[in-house]
Amino acid sequence: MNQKHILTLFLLALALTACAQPTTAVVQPSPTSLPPTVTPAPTPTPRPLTVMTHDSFAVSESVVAAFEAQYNAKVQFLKAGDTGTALNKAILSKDAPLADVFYGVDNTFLSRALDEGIFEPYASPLVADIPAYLLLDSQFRALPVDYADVCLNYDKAYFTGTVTSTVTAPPQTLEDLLLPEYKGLLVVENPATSSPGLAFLLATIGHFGEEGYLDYWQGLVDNEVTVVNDWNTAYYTEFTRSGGTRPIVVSYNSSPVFELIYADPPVDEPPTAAIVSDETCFRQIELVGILKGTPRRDLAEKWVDFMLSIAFQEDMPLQMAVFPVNKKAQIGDQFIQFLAVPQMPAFIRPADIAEKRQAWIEDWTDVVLR
Amino acid sequence: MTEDQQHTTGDKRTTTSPRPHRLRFTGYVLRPTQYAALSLWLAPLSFLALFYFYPLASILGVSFARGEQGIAAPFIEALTSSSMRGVIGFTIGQAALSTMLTLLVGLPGAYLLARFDFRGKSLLQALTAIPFVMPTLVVAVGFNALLGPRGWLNLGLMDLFNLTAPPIRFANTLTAILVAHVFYNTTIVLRTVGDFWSHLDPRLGQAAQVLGANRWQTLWRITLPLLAPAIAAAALLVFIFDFTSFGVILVLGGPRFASLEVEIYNQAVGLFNLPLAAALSVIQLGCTLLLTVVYTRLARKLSRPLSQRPSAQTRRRLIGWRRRFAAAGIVALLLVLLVSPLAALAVRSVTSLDVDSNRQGSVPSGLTLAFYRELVVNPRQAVSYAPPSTAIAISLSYAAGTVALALALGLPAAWALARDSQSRLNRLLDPLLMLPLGTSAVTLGLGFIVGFGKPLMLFGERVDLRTSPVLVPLAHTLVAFPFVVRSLTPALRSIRPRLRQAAAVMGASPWQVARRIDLPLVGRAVIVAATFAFTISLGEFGATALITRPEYPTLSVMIYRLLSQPGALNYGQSLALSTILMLVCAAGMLAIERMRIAEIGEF
Amino acid sequence: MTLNLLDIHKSFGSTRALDGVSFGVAAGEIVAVLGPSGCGKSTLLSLVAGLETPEQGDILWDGQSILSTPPHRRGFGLMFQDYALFPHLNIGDNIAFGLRMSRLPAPETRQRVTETLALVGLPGLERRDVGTLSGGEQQRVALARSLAPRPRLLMLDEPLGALDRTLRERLIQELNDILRRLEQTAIYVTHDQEEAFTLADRVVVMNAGRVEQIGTPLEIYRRPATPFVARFLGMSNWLTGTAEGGRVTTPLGIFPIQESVSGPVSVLIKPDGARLGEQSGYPLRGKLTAQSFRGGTNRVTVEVSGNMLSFTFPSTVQLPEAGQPLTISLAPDEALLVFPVIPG
Repeated sequence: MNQKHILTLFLLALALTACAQPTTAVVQPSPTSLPPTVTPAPTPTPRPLTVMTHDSFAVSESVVAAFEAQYNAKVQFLKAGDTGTALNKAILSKDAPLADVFYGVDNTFLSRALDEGIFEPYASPLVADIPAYLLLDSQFRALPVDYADVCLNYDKAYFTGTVTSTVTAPPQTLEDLLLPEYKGLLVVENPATSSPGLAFLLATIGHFGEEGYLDYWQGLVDNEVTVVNDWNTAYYTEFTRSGGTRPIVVSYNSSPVFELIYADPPVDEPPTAAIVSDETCFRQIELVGILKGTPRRDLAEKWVDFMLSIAFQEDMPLQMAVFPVNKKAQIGDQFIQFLAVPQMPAFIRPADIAEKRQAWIEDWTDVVLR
Repeated sequence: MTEDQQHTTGDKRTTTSPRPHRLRFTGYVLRPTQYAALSLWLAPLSFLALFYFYPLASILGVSFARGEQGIAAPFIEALTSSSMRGVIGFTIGQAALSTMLTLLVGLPGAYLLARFDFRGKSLLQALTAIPFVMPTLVVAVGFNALLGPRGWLNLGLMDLFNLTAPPIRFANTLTAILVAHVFYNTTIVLRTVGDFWSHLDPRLGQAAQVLGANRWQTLWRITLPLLAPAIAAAALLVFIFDFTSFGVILVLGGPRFASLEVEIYNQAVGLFNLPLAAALSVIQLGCTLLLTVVYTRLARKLSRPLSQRPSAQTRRRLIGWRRRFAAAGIVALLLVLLVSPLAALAVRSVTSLDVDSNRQGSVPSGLTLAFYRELVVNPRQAVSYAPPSTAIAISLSYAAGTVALALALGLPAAWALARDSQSRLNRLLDPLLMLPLGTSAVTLGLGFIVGFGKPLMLFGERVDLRTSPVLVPLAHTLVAFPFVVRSLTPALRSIRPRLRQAAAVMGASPWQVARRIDLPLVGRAVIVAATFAFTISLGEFGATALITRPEYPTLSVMIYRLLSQPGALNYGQSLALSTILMLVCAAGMLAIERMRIAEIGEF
Repeated sequence: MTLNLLDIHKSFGSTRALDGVSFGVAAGEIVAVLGPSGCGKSTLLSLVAGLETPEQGDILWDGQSILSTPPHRRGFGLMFQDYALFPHLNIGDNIAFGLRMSRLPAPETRQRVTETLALVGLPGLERRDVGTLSGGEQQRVALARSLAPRPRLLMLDEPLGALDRTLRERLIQELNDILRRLEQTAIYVTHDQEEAFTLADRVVVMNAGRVEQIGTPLEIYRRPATPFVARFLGMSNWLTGTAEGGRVTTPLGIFPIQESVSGPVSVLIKPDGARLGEQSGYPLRGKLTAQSFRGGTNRVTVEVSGNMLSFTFPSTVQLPEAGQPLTISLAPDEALLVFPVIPG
């Protein structure tokens, strides 16, 4: 039968892979002296280290190569789905861990991770460089690596009032969104299915309190808020920047900077802006922890230190659109120039989130979606 | 009469059997022994046991063990809470509706592709298969470009009727879910039914016409009943796909709709309510099993040995304006529903969009290849960067592995099923084969993590299956396997036993009969099965994302990665890569179509 | 004529299936279309049934063109070569199909099915599955199915082709009885001259999409119009000769002929045109080289001056042993046919 053909297909695929390798080498502009992953090992076998993380993880190859060279390690990243899925997998495999380190649990999921006891405490010497309010676990079972603020973004062009819209000023506060002039302008994500969606719900709970947030959301519904299930649909379908009809969207405070960096054609300043007034944003803090039972505790510690070090911390903003917790780390010029940072994000304790999340989401669903 | 009986060499040994239906498939000279049947089942069953039932049982066990009120509590919750019952009802309802619409669109197309030769036919076949491999997020972009608030249709209508607001609301509606399901799954009907149809003896329809049946009567009373086994198989596959739909419901349906699969995800991942998620998974599985049992009963009743014709003999050219007009209508329908969203994507991937938010509509400011150029540079020197050629090669390797594995496992299983469908063993096993399709991907994904905690010994090497690339084709095969079996079984069943008898009489061993008679006769169905396995692997995302090493991503993983960041350039690149994925899929389909199974020629 | 085919042309791709075919069928007449496989016989039926459309020519029924009438409104019956029984319907439903299409009320339908099954010799088998039938039974059911709606014209496409000889001979007779009893107008397509000659009032012999000859079986057998017809009927005694002034000169001698031809000709000596002995006509002397017994006749090969000729004699005639000399005599007006040799 057609085993012959399947074989041909296999060979074709292999040939393509083979062809692809030189391309990699040719295409890579190599400003760094370190070759990507094939670091010549000083000692015969590099020690393997597996880092389990979520889909959005990214890091520069030169940065990882430096770590691998320094500790004679070979780092493998295991991207195990979105944050919640990856964490579930870490929890369910805790008797036979898939990795040595888990990175990416955030303050909305932290309690689940700690309750399940998947981490070993590790007080890294670099903790000293991290602001105290970010150290969410006093036992250092998980250490903060980065944070990002979920904030309202708006399309600047829409609020210049040139052609069709008469609104010339973007909203400044959560309350502003209830005003008639912002009717039908906002798109948010469903907190049940989207992490920025949950963050924005938490911002409203932080600001209006448990007693007031549902009334506020009723007001948003009356003012014709649109709810979608995921960030992609909100940002790439509904948002006016991508051809939608909503000029205000729940995204990150870093999004405008990315709009600048990845503009096509290039622009001088971001076409969007983030609203960072007090208690309008929610800060997502991502943490790293050493998985219980790792046979390479020493190397895992080195990796945690490395994630908190200046080199990694300064690499994060461009790779993952998140910001360093290390006070000594600098961020790039574009971020210094264009990043709006909320002075006072809304705050809710991780334990409260863990305890009440389901009830909050259910109540929210009843008000907004039914 | 007596003379007639002397000359009876029919399928049945006697014409006076008191229970003729029991004999329908048993007229072999070489009746497979239980031992032979078991040996056919050995590989497929071991595969399923190891890579499906074991991980599934592991995760269900672990999940239920976490419940504090016993195993019944989550089931009671799932079946008594009105919102859960709503979810179950909605899931079944939308799946039934989607399946009907998919058949309605797919059957005329299957007829056209099966019965006529026309220019561009293989291209049309390849194009209609592409939706199957497209990531939902990208498909949403395509639909949005056409039907979104600033999509071409709305802009056109607003221009035409001087409207200030877009008249069509597509996103977050039931219509969007249904349209997307039709978009994704019509290819299943085209391939499954189309193949069967192309071998159906056209003289049966002609006989009906001469006896006074008009076209519709012929269709209704002759053609459709004869196609019933293939239609039932296609409907079952489509229904299960729609029933377990996740991305379409989530992305296009919006927050007001939740399918079981979405709810399982919410419960398991969002709320970490594993017992409830497990209970919902079991309910989902139960529905699939029930449906499959009904199907297998029905299929046995419906399928009968037909005198198949080589498809080359049943095809004709499109002659006459009426026929051409009808054909053009069918092609137009397929193009509008299946190809236009893809075309919109491709167009956007070469369009530099300068969105002026103050004007109604996005204004294309010219053609550009910038997004394609950007794909081959690594602006941030990220570890996770890979050039498209690598991604293509990796995607194709997984796909090739899946095709090989799925056929290697599916052929013996389909054989065993087709040869002796009355055996108790087969009646028990047949419905089980479909279960992987009806299983929650979230649940099974977690099952792999729990089930394969200890490294396996494979080919003399310690492999942690949870992190090994081997898992990818294995996981894809789980999905492809039921498709392969369902594509092959009807074809194998409709081979007249007399042909096998003839071969056996001439001294062919059962193995030789299989190789020399069955395989060439179902060559076309093998091709169909291979294209299913290929497209399933190319389009699958979940298992691939889990295992793929960042520096060796598949196309769909790279598309997802680009789409998860803000910025016009990222967006454009993801569309460019999606277009490349379409091309790879179309090329792969055309290549598989070109393969010929045996020297005897296509039948 | 009830049915008239006028100059029908039909081709498939580059193959010419029918190349100017014309003939007619009178009411109650059975016309056999006889020819080798691939001569266009089946295509002809498809055209009359309306399953295909001719590129040129017309088909008339009672003087009206039926080309634009779709197959299901023509009121014809067609029995397919391998019967095309509907595998998903039982025997009764197969036969009732056409009746239901013409909306015959259910009780009448049932009665007609019963009658028709009895007519074809399968009474009471309504509920049987068609998959359980033998070849002969399938043939009867297919016949019943095409007869039940009482078609204005019944077409049969090699209906006995797949059956063995004894069965075939019996079924020809039965078919003949049934069709005659019903006074059924019919076209019977076959490659078997025996079937054609047994059943048909008239025979249309076809070759390569053309009509070679039309006539009663006797006419055709007596005077094949073309060498093709003669060969197709199994006549193989060919000589070359030259005709002039009512005589033909052949390697075996000079014979008188009735045809007024002159120039080079092919001469056919019909196998049944010879008598044993020298009593009458033109004697030929030769050697008996082989004989085979065929029931009522003996087939004999005789070598005459180096030419091998076959003849049939009644089996009552006493023949010498093989290898013995033999004298036969020809009756020129019955035994000899001459065909002008067409140059090229």
